[in-house]
Amino acid sequence: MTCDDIREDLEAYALGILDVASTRRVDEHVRECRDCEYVVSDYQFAVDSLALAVPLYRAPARVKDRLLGGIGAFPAPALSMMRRRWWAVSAAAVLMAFAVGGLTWAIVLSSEVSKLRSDNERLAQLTELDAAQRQALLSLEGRLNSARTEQLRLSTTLEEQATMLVVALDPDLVPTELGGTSLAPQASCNYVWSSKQAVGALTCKDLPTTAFSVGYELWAIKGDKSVPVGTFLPRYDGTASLLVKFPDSAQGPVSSLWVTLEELSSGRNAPSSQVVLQPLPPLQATR
Amino acid sequence: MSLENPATSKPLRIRRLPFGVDINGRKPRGPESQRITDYATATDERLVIALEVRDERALEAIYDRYGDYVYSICLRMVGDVQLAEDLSQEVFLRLWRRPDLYDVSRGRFLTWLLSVARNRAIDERRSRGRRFKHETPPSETSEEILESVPTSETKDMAVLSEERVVVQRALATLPPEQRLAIQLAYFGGYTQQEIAEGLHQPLGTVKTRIRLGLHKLRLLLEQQGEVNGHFDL
Repeated sequence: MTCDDIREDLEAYALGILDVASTRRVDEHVRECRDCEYVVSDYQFAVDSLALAVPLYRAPARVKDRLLGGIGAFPAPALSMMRRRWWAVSAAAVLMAFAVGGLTWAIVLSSEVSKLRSDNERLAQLTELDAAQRQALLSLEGRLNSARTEQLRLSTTLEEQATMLVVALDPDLVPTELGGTSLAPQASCNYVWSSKQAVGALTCKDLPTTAFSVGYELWAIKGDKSVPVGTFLPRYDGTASLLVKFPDSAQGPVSSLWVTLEELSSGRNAPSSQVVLQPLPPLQATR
Repeated sequence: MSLENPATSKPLRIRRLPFGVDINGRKPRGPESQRITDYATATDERLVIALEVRDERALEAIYDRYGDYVYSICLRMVGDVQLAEDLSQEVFLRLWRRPDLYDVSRGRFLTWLLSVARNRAIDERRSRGRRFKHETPPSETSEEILESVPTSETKDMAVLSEERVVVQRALATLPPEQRLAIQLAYFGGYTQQEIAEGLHQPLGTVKTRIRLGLHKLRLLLEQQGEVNGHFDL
């Protein structure tokens, strides 16, 4: 790999808009090449400054209130706890918290939607609207639309989480632990298969953030064939979850499970990049 | 083997230090010495250290300094007030939970914090997926730099305000096509290919615009930094 091969990607690299494979390629080169490292650091200086060019708006006071009111719910993480193995019971607890939290949120949002709708109707009754009133109306409409979108997304998520909860609480479930390869040594996942429900649930933690338009793909390996069974993205804290329903074409025993990084927009029948997570031996069971 | 005092040529005597005092006569850092007396004037790094011992006032001080900056970049990137509020809260909650993620050797705290906010906003745009994936890049007029509002009266924040003006002026100096390409990449998270498609320009043209724009931006910032005597990103 020469400098000329990657020189035209250095700007995008500094801007953080390269795909995963190209980012890795530039990473490896820059570690070895002082000249390119220097060029990147120059670009990085300019890129870092761009954040200061944003028009500055006053953050609403409620953001600070919510932040300071909510930090009590996040005590210091205990290392010993973080290092403990997390099996089906802890997964069930987490999922239950998600489900309850999601349900509460959905109820709150539902009430918010009703309130916004009545506000909207009241505003619509005003015959003479000045500029400020029109602005307020537009703002309310925007919030109403956001709330509706969020409610729709939550209802879908809630249904999925409820199914995952049922799976996790199945006494006959079969767990399989996945560990990160050298690409993500801190990452780990726990996969449980419920033969009763005929679905599986994957919960992960410490996943590295992915580049734009790239997500994680779970693969079921059946002999020499690989079947894509789901795409998922990590949350901001590195956790992720996925409900797995095997397609009819993928019946039969699974010999292994892989997680790879794939472009979100393109469908495929085989992994296109290196394995990020794989079962820790011995493989206990999958489906 | 014994060590000698070079001034007197006499053997050095080893003296036991009083308990709790280091070789310079200072008490080592501990919970007591980590206490901040004035949060308004404490350095960013000092406040981050205080977060590790769960000092809520340190978080409040950091938020007071940079809350508007984090909120503004989130708002600029997602274009939704409610979402920008949620993202801002998440960024600071993440800082509260994992202050150790900030590595002081890798640069200025504000630069790191804003990069966290930007990455979180890009993730959010991506997770909301298709609606952004095929959206048309904003027109050039929508990329105009707006007037800023002053946020604080402290010396450090005044310096930061000056830096913002310098960056905004430098960005405004760029040719419009270079500025637009850079803004779409940075604030929109678009790839160069997406920008080329959105602007109906060849990919090579977009790459050249970004390269020339970043190069010129760096030169302008360095010149301004030398004139003003500060610009340490």
